[in-house]
Amino acid sequence: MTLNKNTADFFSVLAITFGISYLYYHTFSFSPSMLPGYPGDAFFPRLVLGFTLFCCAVLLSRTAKVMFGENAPVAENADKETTVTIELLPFAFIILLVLAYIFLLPVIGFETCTFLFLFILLITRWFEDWKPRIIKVGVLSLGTALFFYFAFVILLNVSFPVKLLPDYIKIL
Amino acid sequence: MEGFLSNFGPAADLVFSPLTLFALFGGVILGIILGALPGFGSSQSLALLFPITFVLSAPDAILFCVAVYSAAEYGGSIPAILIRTPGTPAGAVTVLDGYEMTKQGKPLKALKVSLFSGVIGGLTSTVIFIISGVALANIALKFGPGEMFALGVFGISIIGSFFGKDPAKGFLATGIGLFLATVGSSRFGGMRFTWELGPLMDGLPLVVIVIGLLAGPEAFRLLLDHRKTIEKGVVADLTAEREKNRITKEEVKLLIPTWIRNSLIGTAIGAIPGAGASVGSLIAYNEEKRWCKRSELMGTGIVEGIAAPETANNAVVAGTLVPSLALGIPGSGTAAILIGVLVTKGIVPGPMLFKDPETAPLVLAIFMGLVICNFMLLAVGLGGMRIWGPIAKVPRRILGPFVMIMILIGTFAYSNYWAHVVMVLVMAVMAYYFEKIDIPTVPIVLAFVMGPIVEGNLNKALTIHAGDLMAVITRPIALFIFAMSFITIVYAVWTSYKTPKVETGTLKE
Repeated sequence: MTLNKNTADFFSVLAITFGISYLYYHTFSFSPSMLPGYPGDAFFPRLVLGFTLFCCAVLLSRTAKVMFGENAPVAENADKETTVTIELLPFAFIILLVLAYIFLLPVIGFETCTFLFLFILLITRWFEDWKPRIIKVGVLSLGTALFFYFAFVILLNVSFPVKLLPDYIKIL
Repeated sequence: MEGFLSNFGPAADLVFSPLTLFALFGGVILGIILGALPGFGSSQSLALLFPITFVLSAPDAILFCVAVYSAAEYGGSIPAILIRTPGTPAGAVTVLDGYEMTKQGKPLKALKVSLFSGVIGGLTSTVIFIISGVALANIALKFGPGEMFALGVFGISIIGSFFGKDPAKGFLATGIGLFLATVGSSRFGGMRFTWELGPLMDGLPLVVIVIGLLAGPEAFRLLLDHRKTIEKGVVADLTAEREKNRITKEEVKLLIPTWIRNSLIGTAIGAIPGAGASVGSLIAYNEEKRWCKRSELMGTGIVEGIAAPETANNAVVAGTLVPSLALGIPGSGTAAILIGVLVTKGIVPGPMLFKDPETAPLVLAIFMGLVICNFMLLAVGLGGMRIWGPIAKVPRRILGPFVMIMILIGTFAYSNYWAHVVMVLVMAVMAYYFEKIDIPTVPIVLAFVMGPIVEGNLNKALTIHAGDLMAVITRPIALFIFAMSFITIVYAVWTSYKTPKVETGTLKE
């Protein structure tokens, strides 16, 4: 996905402005001050959000001036500096993979989940023939999963849900 | 100062325990390795290693972080010298003479100059740190909550003004950071922005902000840019003959003024919030061009060209600690993490840190730890000089999956809570997009760390003055500091409008 930088700026700041405005409105539900002198729970957030809204207003007016003004940039002149490019599919794939890792962890266990996560990501990044690629990536993913198991589950006692390996090893 | 130095005994006990020395040593090794990886600056390295501090005591954790910080600055020069790819933004200047020297067949000499310069810069600035830190803390001790609030506003004005290409976006990021810091308990019994959601009740943990905003976007970049990666297969031959790689007495004589000059420059730059190692090394290189006896040879692979930026970027480390510890104003993303480590261990940075009998030994221990860590850096750097080449060659595309899995596992390890991992993912996605539209993420982290300190001081000052805000902000010293903040903002805005096409420097550390 490629967007014009000014368009991306304008709509991003617009979205932030709506968000901040809602948060400012939300501060009116905060509890009032009980202590003499203390300005109340909403005082500092309102200062901060008001200041942020001011910054948004400056950015919006400036970007709008560039977008809709007489010297608006021509689309054909777009280059790397004036566009924002995000590879949506790979980006969404990584997010989904991370979410899958989080939700599958209690189901298939820390060891398998970590191994699969690394294997899936590494296999597309290892430029070699398929056979050596699968072997090398498999060994690397397995080794790393085992390293993390020993470092975090055994040594640091982090309670990751393990399914295949023991969750503690009596060393002495 | 004398009273402060009376803490020498307890500080030595803290530093010379086997676990602390091990933490320092581990920090040095991990710092060099992560710093040598292309794209990993000191703040990203610290963000990734942040979870390790959970299992360490306060002194061990802070000394571990300081060791990682120092070593990562040196580590950044390794790929700059060997494969013309700076590991840290500060290492970019080292490429100019470092890689030229490598092309002349003297890579080990370039690495040695970088290491010696880094260590000398680090040691000199450590001495300056302890003297100026104590002096600054003594001045700040006279400040009340109103003045400390003003000082916090001054810090925020610098952060917003000078991080990123555009002050308006810098301030927007600062506002977002301050807002994120208000989520959770108000410390006066009320809850803010929690919408009765369990994961938000305790506020956003620092680990989520640090890992999500500093390490997260780098993980996405590594994972998404893999198709564009150009592999650099050639690493300089590190088995070249010894004689060729020796630093001669004449060269040392030439380097002494370079080391002195740039230690001072680095420490001063480090003490300025918003600057950092990248700015320090750039200014040092420029100054060296003006003062060096062989200035016409700069850029052709001379020792002064490597020594200047490397001395300065390691001197920045102790310099950064001065405002961070004495005033509670972190000057960079790395300093924000260091302050965050202290805060998570229940220690509030600020002038009282130097006076409180409970915490004063810790400050002296940091000073001693910095000295030891520089000697460790020298030993490890010299011992492992031939090993670092292959590390610098690890392709970026292979790093991505490992960085992402470390982020996920490290965040979960903080409190065994998956909601934090989801928060990190949200922060990382947001930070990745923000960086695309030039909203800097480092001010969000800095403001998040400073937010509770600023709000706490404001609340204290208002309570003392019975809620009269004017009485707080019109006190003479506070008024002076507010005026400085105003001038800083006006200057930044004026500069950015005056030079719209020239980048004012993305001070991303």
